[in-house]
Amino acid sequence: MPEQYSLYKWTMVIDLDRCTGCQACVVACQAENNISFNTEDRFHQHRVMEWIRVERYWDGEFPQGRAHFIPILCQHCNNAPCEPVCPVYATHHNEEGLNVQTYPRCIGTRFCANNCPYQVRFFNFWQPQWPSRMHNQLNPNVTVRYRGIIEKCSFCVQRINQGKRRAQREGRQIRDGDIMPACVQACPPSALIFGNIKDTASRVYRLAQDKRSYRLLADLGTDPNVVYLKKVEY
Amino acid sequence: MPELSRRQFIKIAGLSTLGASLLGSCTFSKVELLAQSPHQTPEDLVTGTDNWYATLCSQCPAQCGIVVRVVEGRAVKVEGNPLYPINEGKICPRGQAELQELYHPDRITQPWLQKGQRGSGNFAEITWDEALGEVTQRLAQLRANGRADTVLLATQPLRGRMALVTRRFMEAYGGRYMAYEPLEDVVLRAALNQTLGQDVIPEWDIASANYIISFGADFLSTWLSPVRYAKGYGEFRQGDRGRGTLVQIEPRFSLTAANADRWIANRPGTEGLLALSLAQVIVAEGLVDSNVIQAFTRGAGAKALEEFRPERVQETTGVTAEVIRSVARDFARQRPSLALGGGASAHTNGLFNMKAIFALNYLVGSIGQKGGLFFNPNPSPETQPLQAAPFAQWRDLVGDLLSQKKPLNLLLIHKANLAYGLPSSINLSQALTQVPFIVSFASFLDETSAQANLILPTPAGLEDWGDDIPDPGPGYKVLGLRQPTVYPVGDTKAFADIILALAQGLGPEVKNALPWTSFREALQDGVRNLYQASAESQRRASFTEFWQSLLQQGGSWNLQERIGSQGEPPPLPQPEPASFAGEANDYPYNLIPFLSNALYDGRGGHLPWLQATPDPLTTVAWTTWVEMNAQSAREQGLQEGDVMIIESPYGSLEAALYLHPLMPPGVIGMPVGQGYWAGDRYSKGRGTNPLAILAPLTDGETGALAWAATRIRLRKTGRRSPLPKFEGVVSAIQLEDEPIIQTIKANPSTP
Amino acid sequence: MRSVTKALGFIAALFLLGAVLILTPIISLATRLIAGLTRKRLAMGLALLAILVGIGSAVGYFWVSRGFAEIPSQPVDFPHSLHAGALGVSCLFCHRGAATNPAAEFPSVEQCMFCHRVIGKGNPEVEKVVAAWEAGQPINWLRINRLPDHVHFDHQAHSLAGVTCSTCHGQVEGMAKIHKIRSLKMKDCLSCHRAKNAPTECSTCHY
Repeated sequence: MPEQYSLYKWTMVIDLDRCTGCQACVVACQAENNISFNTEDRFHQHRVMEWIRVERYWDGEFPQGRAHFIPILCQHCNNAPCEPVCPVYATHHNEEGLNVQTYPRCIGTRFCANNCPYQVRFFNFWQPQWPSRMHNQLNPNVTVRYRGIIEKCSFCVQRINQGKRRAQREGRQIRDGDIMPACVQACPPSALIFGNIKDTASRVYRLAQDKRSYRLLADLGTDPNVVYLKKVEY
Repeated sequence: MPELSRRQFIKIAGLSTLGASLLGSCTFSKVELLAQSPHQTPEDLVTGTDNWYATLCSQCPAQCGIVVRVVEGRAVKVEGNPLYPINEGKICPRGQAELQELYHPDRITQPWLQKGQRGSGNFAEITWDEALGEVTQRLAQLRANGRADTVLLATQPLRGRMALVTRRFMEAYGGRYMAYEPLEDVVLRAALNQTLGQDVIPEWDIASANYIISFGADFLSTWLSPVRYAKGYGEFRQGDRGRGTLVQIEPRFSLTAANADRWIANRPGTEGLLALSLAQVIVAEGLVDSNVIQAFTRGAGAKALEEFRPERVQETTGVTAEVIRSVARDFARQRPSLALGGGASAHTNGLFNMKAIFALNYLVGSIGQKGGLFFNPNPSPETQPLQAAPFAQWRDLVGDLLSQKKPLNLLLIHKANLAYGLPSSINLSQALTQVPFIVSFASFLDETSAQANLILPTPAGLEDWGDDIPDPGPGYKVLGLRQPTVYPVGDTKAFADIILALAQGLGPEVKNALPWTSFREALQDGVRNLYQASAESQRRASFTEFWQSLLQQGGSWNLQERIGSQGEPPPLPQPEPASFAGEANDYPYNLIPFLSNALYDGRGGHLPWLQATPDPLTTVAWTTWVEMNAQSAREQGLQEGDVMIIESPYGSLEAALYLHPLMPPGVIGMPVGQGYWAGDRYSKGRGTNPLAILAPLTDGETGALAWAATRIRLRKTGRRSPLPKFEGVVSAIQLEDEPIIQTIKANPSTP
Repeated sequence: MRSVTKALGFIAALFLLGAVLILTPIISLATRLIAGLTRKRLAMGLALLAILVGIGSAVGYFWVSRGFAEIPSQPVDFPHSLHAGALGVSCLFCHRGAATNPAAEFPSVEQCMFCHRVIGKGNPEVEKVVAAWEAGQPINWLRINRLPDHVHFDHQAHSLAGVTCSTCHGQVEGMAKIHKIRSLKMKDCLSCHRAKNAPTECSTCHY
């Protein structure tokens, strides 16, 4: 069923030709979204929480080769496999194209994480903890999650809401580039671009039409709101 | 109805109280119900509203401009300053983590005096008056006895007014001062000086270049000003022009090599030969203007470079003649092109390598050209930076201490972690025992501070005043300003303020050299000069207004103030071969230590965000790993996670193996940044430090540490220690065999 | 006082409901097990019952202490009825952020002193404020309306939409002591959002 979208439909474009794999987006996301520390144990247990991660793919072996990097975050699918399996409607698609996770609703069945082909949903196996004083750096605009619920990339919905209110106060519509999730803002080579794809003058609209564009695991029919750009090398 | 025994009754009563208290605890705690009405509201504090303060990052020598989001007096986020010309709103992982330094649980917040034996870690808190009194008294006494020259101030490399204060203080006092950095840029600076006549690093216009050859310059990760270069790289790849070509020539597979269109693994230490061979092809084939060729070869033409014909060097460099020729042709034809040199400096012939590489820029006419390099303005005498001293000077210092030739009576250390960064073979720890009193200015306990008698806590970067003239700059004059963004955590004093306080107690000579009561005043003095010299003095109502506007935007810069860049033909460097410590038979591998993408040279080790940031290539976090060619490792029956003993002629250490498909056989890579043994809860006892086992070899002319000149051998311990890595956390999806979910008929998204 | 009786009535109803809900399965279970069961087991069953009663009373306590009933006594007996009522001081004079910020803000002691440097000398409550000002101490007011961490409420958004202060905070100008007039639970928020066609999408408040 095609969704009816309001004024906005948020889309991210990831230009893999620009991405260097430097991890700036990863740390920016940790800082903005109060993600608890990924301790050494979490790496061993394969329970690392990174709402955005940079996957590295080796291409070739010595002497010829290179590595490719793909930043992967919640794709905010228009046909999201995570949504229909949630028994309590904690995850749903909103009218601006966001796949929203409602923490107080989540009961921790982890069905959504199982059903997500991109593996971008993370379960809080422990109560997140910050050592003394470090809780001062928590972002007051983002809920600190607790044990037993799923969390994931929200496209920095707190920044979207803030941007909308700012625009409302100033009596205008949101301009292209007004709203930037933390990862987009940090990215040194500007590989990440965020905007409203319903605005035909926006950068994301133009880039989504680029002949380099593709969607991740498009065959699954999830119809993501994250567009990847990559020049195919022959 | 059974009778309830007393005992059972108590049990039940207890349980129901437990139930009640459990549920009671589900409500808001009393503290959360308090709504404190502050005594006084600062003008800039509005509940629930963000304040943004522009300041400078202090996590690496690039010092990007940042803005800090402050909510109700707490710093909660660091972002790039969109106005600052170096990074233009962008920021790297290390800069983001600056925040954690501020609220770190193990920060030193009170002066510490060593109570037990030095190095025992038995510190007691004392007051600032006691601490400063102690240092002043020692300084004054040494000076009165005519032993001022037995005082050494070792700092990190300093720029701006901080360098000025330090220099003036030590010169007036009569002591010695040196700056220390583990992987120094001495060779790079010497080469730039000798080829381009520049004392400061030029601006490399990566964004507009069309063809870049980088000789081991890991400019997408840690080299010089990585955020600026990464931003340029984005434009270089997908700007409004065609896509640029990046060639990385490096014996190790670095992050920049991973992103290069072509990665050429040469033999370590042969970068200079390769560069001259590229020049030979360009000259012999006449690929550039003949006047340039005449000037470059001093009129000798192709003859001058005959010995560097690709066929002659292919054996030594390990790069075939065809590859050299094709790269040389592209480099000369696809202009504007740029030659960068980074890791090539880490050899005993580092200066030759770097000179040969930078000379290429002249040959292809890139000096002062868009897409080439632009010179940066030289600093004034007032803003002369305090550059890192070459390793040879530190080695000699330690030698003199050990032989008692030049004893030290007082050692002052400011963020120079000598005990961690200097190779253990020169025996610094023994030398330090010869120094009767050591004072460290530090925010965290590190290996050198742990040896100190007195630790004076300094503020975190976000609480400090400062300024910076970025080096490398963007091609024009920039002054960046650092300002406190929050009220300080703990009772700290800035390094420069301590110096000024000490100067007060050391007689009129020292006192008059530093006519300021606080470092902020010293900064304002510098800005006042700028104000009076510029047209701003006409436009602004007062100096205060100018000062505030500068603090607001993070500094002062003027894009119009570009200086001309002209290239004199660089001298043709005389080739010299690299030498290595350890015979190839005994020590079959070249060890190449490299700066970690997250921890830099270890200065980010105490920040959990950085510790948990996977290395972009190996995806390992929280520890040190050994990168080895996967195929040759498998042939030797080695597996990932095997704990290896890495043995150089100068020591050995242990680390777990990572099988790397793209490391050249014969080369072993190890990241710098772990292996702290003093330190805080996040870095202490983690991994190992490859710098410790390096041979004390130097580049002949500059005396810089040749950190890639050590050969090693590997032995298996038989133990295994699985690497904490991100790789494998997310399992791969098999698409062809069986679709995971039923393919839904794709809805074309309706924009 | 009215609200206290209201709350007590509510608690009574809750208890009744709770008793029915909790006891029914237990009694049926107990009757099934009672024959042939040892005394010990029966005692255990009773213990369980006691725990549930404990939980029930805790719920009751929760309602009484955190619900409408309690009117906490503030460190300073600040009469909104005088300031906002008789004197007609605008809400925004003290709660400066209510129209322009996410948080309405509690005024600082300094702000109280704008007026009370001159007015109200000798009044014991005003003297408390003056004492706090002179001692450089904050005043720890007790919060009446508090939302949990996972709710992000924005005063500005509501005032932009034309919601008045009294919609949620009641006729403050008539209250000698401030008390809660709405539950401010999600149902309460939603009833208004629905009525006014305001967004009811989860991510409006929960993120």
